[in-house]
Amino acid sequence: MNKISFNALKHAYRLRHRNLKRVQERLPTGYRIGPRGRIDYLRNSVTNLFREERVEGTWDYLDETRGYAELILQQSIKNGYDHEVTKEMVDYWIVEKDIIPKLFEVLVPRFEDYDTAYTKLYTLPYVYPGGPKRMGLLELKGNF
Amino acid sequence: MSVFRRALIASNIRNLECYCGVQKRFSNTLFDGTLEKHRRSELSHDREKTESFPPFEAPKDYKKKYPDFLPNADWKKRDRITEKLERKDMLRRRAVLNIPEFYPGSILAITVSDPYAPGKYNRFVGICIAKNGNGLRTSFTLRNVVDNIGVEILYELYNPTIQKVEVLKLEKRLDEELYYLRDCDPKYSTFNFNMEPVQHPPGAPIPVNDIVLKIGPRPWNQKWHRQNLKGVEGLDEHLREVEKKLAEKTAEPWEKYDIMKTYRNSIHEEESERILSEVYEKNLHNQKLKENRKPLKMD
Repeated sequence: MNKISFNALKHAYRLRHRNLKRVQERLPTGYRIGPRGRIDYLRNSVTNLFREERVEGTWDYLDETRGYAELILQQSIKNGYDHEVTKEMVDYWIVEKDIIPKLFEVLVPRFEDYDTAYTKLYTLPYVYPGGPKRMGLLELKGNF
Repeated sequence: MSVFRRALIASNIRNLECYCGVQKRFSNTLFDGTLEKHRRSELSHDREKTESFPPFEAPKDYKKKYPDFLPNADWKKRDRITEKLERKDMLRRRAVLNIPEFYPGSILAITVSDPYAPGKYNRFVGICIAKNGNGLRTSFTLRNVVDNIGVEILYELYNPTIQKVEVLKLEKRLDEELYYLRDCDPKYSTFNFNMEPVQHPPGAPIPVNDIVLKIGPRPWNQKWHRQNLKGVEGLDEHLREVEKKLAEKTAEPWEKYDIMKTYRNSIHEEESERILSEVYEKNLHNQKLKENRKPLKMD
């Protein structure tokens, strides 16, 4: 995976990752804690985004998934599924395998000519009585 | 003017804005960006003429050939101006000294000026274990066994005391750092000082030496079983069961799939292309200067 050469991201991203402490869960095998739990959560949320094309949630968690979704789209447009490293990456990050054909047949032709970012992140209004977190909405561009 | 100001003060007018026609303090000024936009726009009658040159596209092998020109990936440690000045210095050094490409695993011979050595120079032959740093601070370590004692020397690539850099054998290994040679059999890190150079045809791919070494008994220099090394085997013989379990616990197999982490710790393609094209342009310029230079007349 270190052999990948990335292009520049088109959206503003944080220079440090978020730890996503709220993600910790009790599983039959044990606790899902730390970087492993974080990556597991992000895998699920990225597949969820590719399936639904529009996801609601807390703003900072969506911002964290956004970078991963952008990079996956960027690499799959650049190299295609036949590329060895990209295939390994896509197979790991997309948990439900029925979405992989959707990625390469629907999303890649849609975003081929884009010069901007492929996703968009909004902040949602505060609905009383809301929680302390800022809520947001993440969507793929060009959805209906 | 002073009369006018005195008159204003004397008058009981509080609201000066209606007289001066100025609502805010800086409302009569413009932002720099809007001015620049106006200068270059096609609508302005006095348009600024800017000459645009096509960018120099660096050859594809430049990224492997000159990895030390790429800056530090850590955003906090970067400074664009010092990077540019350093690149200038490095090219100036490269115009005098021939620095060929080499990788960890290839065998080098380096001559350094030394005022206390006979002949005032010192030549050392060894295998390159690691390459560290970037810019003017790039360094590499050579390892050899001399009189049954392991010797390692860390050279700085742009040190002015270096007289000559020879690549005796251009090669790669399975790993990028070969520190484990310290704990292997010393015969794998002994090299003859009078070794003859193996010629590498230009343009050919760099051969990978897929030798797998057997590690020696403990104590070790580092915890080799935690590092996912490909060029070492026989680690399990020296481990207790507790250590094997700990190694499984502390392993991070998901780390290589963390693409945002690799993105943050690397320099993306647009940036590296921009830097290397600049290097390529300077190289072409230096070549032209060399061709046009007339030899000095000596009487």
